Amino acid sequence: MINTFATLGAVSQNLALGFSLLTIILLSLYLKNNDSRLFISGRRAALISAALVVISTLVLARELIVSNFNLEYVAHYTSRATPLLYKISALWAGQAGSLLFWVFILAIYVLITIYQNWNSNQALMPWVIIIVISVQFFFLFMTNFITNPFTPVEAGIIVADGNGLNPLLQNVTMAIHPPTLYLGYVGFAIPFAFAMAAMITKDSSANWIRIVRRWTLVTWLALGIGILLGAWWAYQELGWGGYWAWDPVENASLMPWLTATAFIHSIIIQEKRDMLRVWNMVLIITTFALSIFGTFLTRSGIMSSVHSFATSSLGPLFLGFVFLILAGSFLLLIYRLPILRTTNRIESFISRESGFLFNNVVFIVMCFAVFWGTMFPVLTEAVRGTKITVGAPFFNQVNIPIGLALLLLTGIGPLLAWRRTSKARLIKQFSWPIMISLVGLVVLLLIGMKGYILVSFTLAIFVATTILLEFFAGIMARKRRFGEPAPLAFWRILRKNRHRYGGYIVHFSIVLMFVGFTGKAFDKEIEIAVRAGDKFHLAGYEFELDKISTIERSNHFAWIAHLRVTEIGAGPVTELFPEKRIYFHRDPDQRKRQPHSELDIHTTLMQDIYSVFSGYDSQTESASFKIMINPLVNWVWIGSYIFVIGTLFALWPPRRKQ
Amino acid sequence: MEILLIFILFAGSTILVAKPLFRPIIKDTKMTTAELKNLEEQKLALYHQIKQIELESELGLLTEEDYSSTRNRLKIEASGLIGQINELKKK
Repeated sequence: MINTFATLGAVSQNLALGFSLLTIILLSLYLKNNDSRLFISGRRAALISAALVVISTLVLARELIVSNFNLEYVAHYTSRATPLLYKISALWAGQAGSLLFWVFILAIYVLITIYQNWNSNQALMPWVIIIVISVQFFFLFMTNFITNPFTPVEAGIIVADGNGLNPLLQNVTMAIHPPTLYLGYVGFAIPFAFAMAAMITKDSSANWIRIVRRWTLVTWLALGIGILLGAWWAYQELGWGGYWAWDPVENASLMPWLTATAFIHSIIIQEKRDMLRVWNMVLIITTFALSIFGTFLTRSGIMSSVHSFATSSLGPLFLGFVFLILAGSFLLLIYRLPILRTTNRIESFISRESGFLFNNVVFIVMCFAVFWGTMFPVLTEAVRGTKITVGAPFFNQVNIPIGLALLLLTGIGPLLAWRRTSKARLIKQFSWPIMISLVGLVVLLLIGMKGYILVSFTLAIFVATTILLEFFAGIMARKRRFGEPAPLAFWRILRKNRHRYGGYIVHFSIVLMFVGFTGKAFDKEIEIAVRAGDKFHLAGYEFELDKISTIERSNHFAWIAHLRVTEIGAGPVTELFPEKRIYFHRDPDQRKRQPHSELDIHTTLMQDIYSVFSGYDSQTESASFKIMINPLVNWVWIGSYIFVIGTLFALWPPRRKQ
Repeated sequence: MEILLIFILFAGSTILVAKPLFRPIIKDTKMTTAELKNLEEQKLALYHQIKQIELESELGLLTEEDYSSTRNRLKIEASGLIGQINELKKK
């Protein structure tokens, strides 16, 4: 028996499905009969279906908060002891809830898109609404008939308390990571819908790009933040000392981000030179299909085994939907090729256009490498019956050179002129960056750097120099033209050219991230078991286990290690307090108690001292630790902040004079 | 209680959707306003592009010849839009 609220949620979800279908029918009739009443009615149906999804999701959130264990989903993912924040985040912890949450975000996007275009883009909007509501219909079909979050527990069963949320997910970063990622995944539905609408209505201009550019940037930023938060969470919570493991779920989010990055660069060429119309369509179709494919990878069970995929009806439906998107979109694209082809061609190998094109090719190659590595185990299991695992070494081996090529292009591209770059300009633009990087290269060689590390740091110097010189050239141009003092000229070039300089800020953030990534090559670690009073050494530091204390908190019991860290020959550095926790420690069923290591990190700009309390034997009073010295990791996070600032700067709307 | 709730949700939503279908067909003047707004936005985007190529020319990313031809192309596009805007305003 479920309560009135839960009924409201379930019924709203049913009705949302019905009104989605009605939207598609009404707008299709409008397109056939051109009767504006049908458009108004269809648009209302779309708004109502989106509003019903919002109601349904809010109801599920309420049921999670009030611990209505009459719902299977609530009983499975929360318990009475689960803190409020994690009761809310349980909304996206399980399959049924996360799919409803996916539709919830899409519904919010539908509401925003319809509101933004209430009186504009009338030719495109009926098709845009039909396409996004069709996506909504698919997901609502799943949540209504395949994996319903409002399913009640079996009749006659009374659940006194729920299972509770997985301890690994009881982390603030993990609470906000999935919604941010979903904001990105789902958001690509809107540019995709506009692209399809433009093709259907035979609009071959760059108008659709102007409409979706800001939207794409917001979505791309959200996906980027989601990926970075995931990396941050892995580093802070999982205790293996890294932030990226090339796990299929991580890869699923990286792939659409890579193609979207290519798209963001490539639409500049369409706007400036009216080229790459077809390519831009291909990129946005691929990005959206990869977003759905990412949800499929994480939700179908295919990564654990093709057999679990085959037994679940969710997986084949998802795969079918991805194929439908790809087949439908590419057929439309082929059909519209005659109007999308342009006469403009790349005139020179050394031009801004070819720089962008190379950048696009490298992004796509990287995306394909990630796709291949992710899907290879699935394919081998399907074909040969045995699963061949593709680990981090494959991904690193393939993607490090590709990544370095991208870094190089980040530096070269902005220095090239449109159409062709003259020899004189090449020399003028590249002489300083090359000279400074050569000096950097010599210094790096002298301090013993080699291989990829040497290449990466040298390229970082090269790209950082080109970016600084671009700012300098902009300032000088304004000084020459308007006689402005340098600070004012700096401010004005930023304000008047947000896209360009926001982009450079993002490029600079990528340089900083590469510095952080390269630091990984210098990691040092030790795994050791010690007792209170014992000392051990790693990379010039002395660690002393002072004592182990205990504490009981609302949902777990913890042993806390007190580790004193001293730099040999320099004195005390810090104290670290990693914890070994047992979640659900009061549960009489021992199997339900879940151990978890809460680590502690001492962070500086140069390195992190990373401590993991792996285990504690209370009989021998012996504590096991994993200690790592991770150089330059902080630059990944500093780069991440600058990435967000740069993107926000680029997409901030300019002030327009009336 | 549940049945009443379902009825209210269903009936309320259906009425909202169906209501426009019972209105008489009227010439949608909003369409003209919308089109006008759309054209104004396109015009502003073109002005912005002209400003951008000015900077690119200053930075040496466009040759003098490319700068003038692109600027002329954008100006022609903009004047075409202004013509369309004036036509719509007359209606």
